[in-house]
Amino acid sequence: MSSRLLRFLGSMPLAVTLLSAVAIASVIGTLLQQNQPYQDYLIKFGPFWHQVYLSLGLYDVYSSLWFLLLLAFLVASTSVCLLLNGPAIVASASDYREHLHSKILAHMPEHQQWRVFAPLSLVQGQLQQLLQQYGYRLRSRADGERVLIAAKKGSANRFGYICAHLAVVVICIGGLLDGNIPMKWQSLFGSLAIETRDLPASQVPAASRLDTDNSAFRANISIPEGSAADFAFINVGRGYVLQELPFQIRLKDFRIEHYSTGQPKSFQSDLVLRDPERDTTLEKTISVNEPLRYRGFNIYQASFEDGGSKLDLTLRPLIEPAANPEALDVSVRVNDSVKVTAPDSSELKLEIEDFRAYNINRTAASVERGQDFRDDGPSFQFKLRRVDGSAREYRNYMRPVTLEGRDYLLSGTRGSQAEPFRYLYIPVDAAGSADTFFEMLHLLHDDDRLAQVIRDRAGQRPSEDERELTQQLTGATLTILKLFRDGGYGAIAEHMDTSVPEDQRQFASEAYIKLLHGGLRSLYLEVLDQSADSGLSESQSLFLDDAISALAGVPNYGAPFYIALNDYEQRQASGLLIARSPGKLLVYPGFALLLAGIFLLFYIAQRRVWIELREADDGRVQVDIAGESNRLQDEFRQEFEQLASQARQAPEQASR
Amino acid sequence: MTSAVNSLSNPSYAGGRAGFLAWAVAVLAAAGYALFSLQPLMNGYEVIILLLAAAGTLWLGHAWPSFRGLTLAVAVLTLVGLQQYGDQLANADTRFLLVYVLASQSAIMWMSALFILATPTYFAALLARSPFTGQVASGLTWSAVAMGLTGLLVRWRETYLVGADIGYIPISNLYEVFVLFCLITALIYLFYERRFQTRALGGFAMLVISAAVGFLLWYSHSRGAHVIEPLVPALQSYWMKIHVPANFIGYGCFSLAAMIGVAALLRYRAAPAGRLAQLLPEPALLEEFMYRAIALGFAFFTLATILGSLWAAEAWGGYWSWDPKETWALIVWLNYAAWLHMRMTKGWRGPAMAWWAIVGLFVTLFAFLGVNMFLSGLHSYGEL
Repeated sequence: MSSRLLRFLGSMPLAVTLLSAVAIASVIGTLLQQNQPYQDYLIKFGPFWHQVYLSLGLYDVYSSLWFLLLLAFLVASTSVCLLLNGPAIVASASDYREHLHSKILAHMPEHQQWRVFAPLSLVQGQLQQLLQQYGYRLRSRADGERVLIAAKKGSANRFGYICAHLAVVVICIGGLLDGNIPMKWQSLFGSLAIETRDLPASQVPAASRLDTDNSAFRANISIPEGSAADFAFINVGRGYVLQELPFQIRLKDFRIEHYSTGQPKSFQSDLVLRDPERDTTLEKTISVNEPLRYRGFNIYQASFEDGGSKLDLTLRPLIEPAANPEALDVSVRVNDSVKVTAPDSSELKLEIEDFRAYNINRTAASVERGQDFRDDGPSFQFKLRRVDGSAREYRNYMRPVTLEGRDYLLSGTRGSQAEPFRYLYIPVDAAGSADTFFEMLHLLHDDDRLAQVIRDRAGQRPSEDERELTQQLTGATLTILKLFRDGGYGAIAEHMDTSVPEDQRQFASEAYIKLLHGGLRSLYLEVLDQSADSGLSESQSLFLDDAISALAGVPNYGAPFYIALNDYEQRQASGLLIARSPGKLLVYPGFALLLAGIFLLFYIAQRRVWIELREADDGRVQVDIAGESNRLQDEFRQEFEQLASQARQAPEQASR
Repeated sequence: MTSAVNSLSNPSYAGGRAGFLAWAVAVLAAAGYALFSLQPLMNGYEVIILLLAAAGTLWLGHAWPSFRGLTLAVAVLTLVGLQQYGDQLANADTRFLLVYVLASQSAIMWMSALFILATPTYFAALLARSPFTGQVASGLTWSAVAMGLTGLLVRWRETYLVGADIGYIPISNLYEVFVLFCLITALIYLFYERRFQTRALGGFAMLVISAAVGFLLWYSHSRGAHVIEPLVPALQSYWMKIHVPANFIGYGCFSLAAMIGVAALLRYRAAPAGRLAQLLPEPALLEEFMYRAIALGFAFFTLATILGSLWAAEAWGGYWSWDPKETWALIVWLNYAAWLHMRMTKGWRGPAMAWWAIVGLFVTLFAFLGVNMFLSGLHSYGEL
C-alpha cells in the first residue's frame, strides 16, 4: 500500500500535472491583478463572482492555502521521485558494467572489430593507456580466454539529475520558509488579529503585533525626516499587522538627485540605526540597489512620500466676494486638516493630502526647446470636505505654467479618485499675477458695481434716441452675466430653452453670446481702467478669452475658494522595506545546485567504451570495441571513431 | 591525432594555432586595457564581469574560428567609430562615416537591412540548391551581426557622451534589447549552421529575426525609441550586465527552436520522395537541432532567472515577489522543463514536439513583451 502510494507520488504523470497546475495558477495570478482593494473587485465582478473569487483566494493566489498545498505536493513528489530513482542512478553511474556479455557489444550504437598480430597482454596494456589518454576510467576483467576492458567517463551527468531535482526541493522548502505560513497559521488558529483600522502605531493592540522573534517577514514603514521608528507594518489581505523591530531606525535626510535632463537619478536615505541590545549605532546611506544589511535584516529604499511639509496657503474667494472679500491665510501641514469658513458661511474641512516640490513632465514644448523635460514647479493635493462628509479633490500648482506661450495657474478637480483631474486654467496677467482675473470675478459677483459698470460703459456710446434700446440691452446683458456667473454657458442655454421659442434660438444664442462677451469685455476694461475706444492689445484679447473660459468653469469648480500656495517648508518621508528571509540560506545554495545540475545534464555526457580482447583461432588477437553515450551522440561518434582508428594503429607502433 | 577529425571542429582550422594565439593575445590586451583605463568607472563586480567576458570570448573563439573574425571586424569598426566621435556627440551629425555607417543608429539600420536581405537569400539558396548563394546568405548574416554589435558598442560610448553620469550599458531598454535579441539569435543560428553543416534552415531562423527587425524599425520610427535616455534608479546596477544577456540567450534559443519546429513540421508533411524532403534536412537532424537549442536556452534561461532573482533580492527586497514578469519567467521555465522531460525521459519525438516548441515561442513572447504591454508590475521599464 505505502509503496504504491510512493510510486504514485514519484510518478511522472503526477509531476507533470502538478507543474501544469502551478503554471495555470501562476497565470491566473498575473491576469487577475492581485491584492487590490476589495471595493475595486466588487465593482469589476459584481457581488456574486466577487464572493466566489474571494473564497477561492484568487485575489492573493500566491499565499492562498491551496497554492501553498500545491507547492508542498510538488516538493513531496519531487522528493519521492528522487528517493525512488536516486539510489539506482548512483549505482548505475558508479557501475563499470564489466560483466557485459560479448553478444551485446555488437548491438551497441558504435561497434568495430579487427584482429592484430600481437600478444594479448601487450594489446591490453596499450589500449588501456589509450583509453586513459581519452580521459576514461576503466576496469578490466579476465574471464577465461577473453579480457574485457570496461571504461566510462562523464558519470557526473547522472549526478546532474540528482542535483537538479534536489535543487527544486531545496528551493521550494526555502521559499516556503520565507512565505507567510506561520503568520497565516496564527491568524487562522491562533491569537493574531489582522488590524484594519487606521491607527497610530502605539495604539495597535497587542493581538495585532508580532514580536522580534518572527524570523521571516517583509514589512513596510514610512519614516519622515527627523523621525524614528522601531516597528514596521506587514500587509495582510485588507489589513495589516505590526512587526516590532529589535532596533530603531532614524531618517536623517532623504534626497532625490536628478540628471541634467530632469529625470530622477537616485533616491537616497541617510539612516541611523540604533540597536539597544547590542549597544551599537550605525550610520548608512541606502539607495535603490544598495540596501543596509544588519543582523539578518535587510533594509531597502522602497518608496518616498511627503512626511508632513508645512504649506502657507491663501484662500481666495470664488463666490460672494461682496460678503467676504478678504482672502484668508492659513498654514497647514500635509496629512493635517484645518476647518475653514466659506464666503457663504458654510463650514468646510481642508485636508492636505500631498505635496510635490517638482513636477517634471515631458511636453511637446519642452522637447522643441531642446530640453526633454520641464519642471512645472511645486504642487499640492487636497480635499475640501463638507459637513455632510462629501468631498472633492483638488491639485493646485504653485507657479504659473506656460501653455502655448500663455501663463496659467492650474487647478485640477475631480469627484473621485477613479476620475482624471479636470483643470481650471486661471490666466495670469502681464505682471504675472492672478489679481486681474480675481478683480473681474469679484466685479461680476458684486451686483451693484456690476450694474454700475455695465450702465456706465453702455452710456458712453449711444445717442439720445437710442436710450430706450440701450436700457433694454443693459438689462439683458446683466441678466445674461448673472446667469453665466452662477452656471456658466450651461445656465444660459437652459434659460434659452425655457424662455425663447425654438425657431428663434439660433438667432438668440448668437445675440446672447455677443452681449455676454461685450459685458465681460466691459468688466475687463473697467479692471484695466481703460475706456472702451482704446481697444485691446493682442495679449489683452487673449487674456480676455482665457478669463472668459476660466469664469465659465468656476461654477463647476465646486469649491468656494481658489487656494494659492505661497510658500512651503518641505519635509519628506522615506518608505523603507524591511525584510528578513532566512530561507535564503537554502534557496541560494539551491540555485547553485540547480545550475550545476542542468549543465551537467545537458553538457556532460556519460560515455562508455568496452574493449573485448580474445585469442582468435588464427593466432591473432580479436579486438571488439563498442561504445555508447547518453547525450551528444554526434560528438561521441567522432571521438569513438578517432579512438578506434588510434587503437588499430597502436599494436603496429608497438611492433616496430 | 588530427587525422579523422572533422576539419570544421578543429580549432587550428582558421589561421592555425599561431593565428589563435595572436588573436587571444589581442583579446587579453583589450581586456587589460579596459581594466586599466576604465578602472574608475567599475566596481569590483564589474571587474569580475569584464574578466568573465574576456574568458568567455576566448573560449568561444577557441571553439569557433569564425567568431574570431567577427570580433576583429567589430573591434576595428568600433575603434573607427570612437575615433570619429572624439568627445563630441555632435559629430554624429557632421562626420560622414558616423552619419552613414558607424553612429549607433546608422549601424543598427545597416544591421536591419542586412538581416532582411539575408532572409530571402537563404531561401533562394535552399530552393535553388546553390551553395554559393548559401555562402552569400551566411556572409550577409555575419555582416549584420558585425554591424549590430558595432552599433551597440558605439552606443555604449554615446551614452557617456550624452552625459558622464548618464552612461549605461546599452542593453537597458526595449529598443536596445531588441537589437541584442537579433544579434544573439543570429549568432546561435550561425553556430549551429556550422555544427550541423547545413544552411537549409537559415531562412527559417532569419524569419524570426526579420520580424524582430520589423518591430525594431517601427519602434524606432514611430516612437523615437532609439533616443538615449538616462536609466531609472532601479536599473543602475551591475546585475544588468549579466542578467539581460543571459536572458536573451534563452529567448534567442527558444525562438530559434520554434523556427526549426516550423521547418520540422514541413519536413514531416513532405512526401518521402518529394522535393521538400530533398531540400530539408532529415527529421532526426531537425529534432536534434531543436533539442540542442532548447537545452542551451533552458540552461541560460535558468541562469538568467536566478540572476534576476538575486538582483531582485538586492533591489526590491525579495528574491521572489510573484511579480508578473517573474511569474511568467517561471511559466516559460516550467514549459521548457516539461518539454525536456518528455524528450529525455519519455523519448518523445515528432510533430507534437515541434508544435510544442512553436507554442513555446508564444509563451516566451508573452513573457518578453506581453507582460510589459498588458500587465503592470515592478518590471515596468520596457513599456510600449
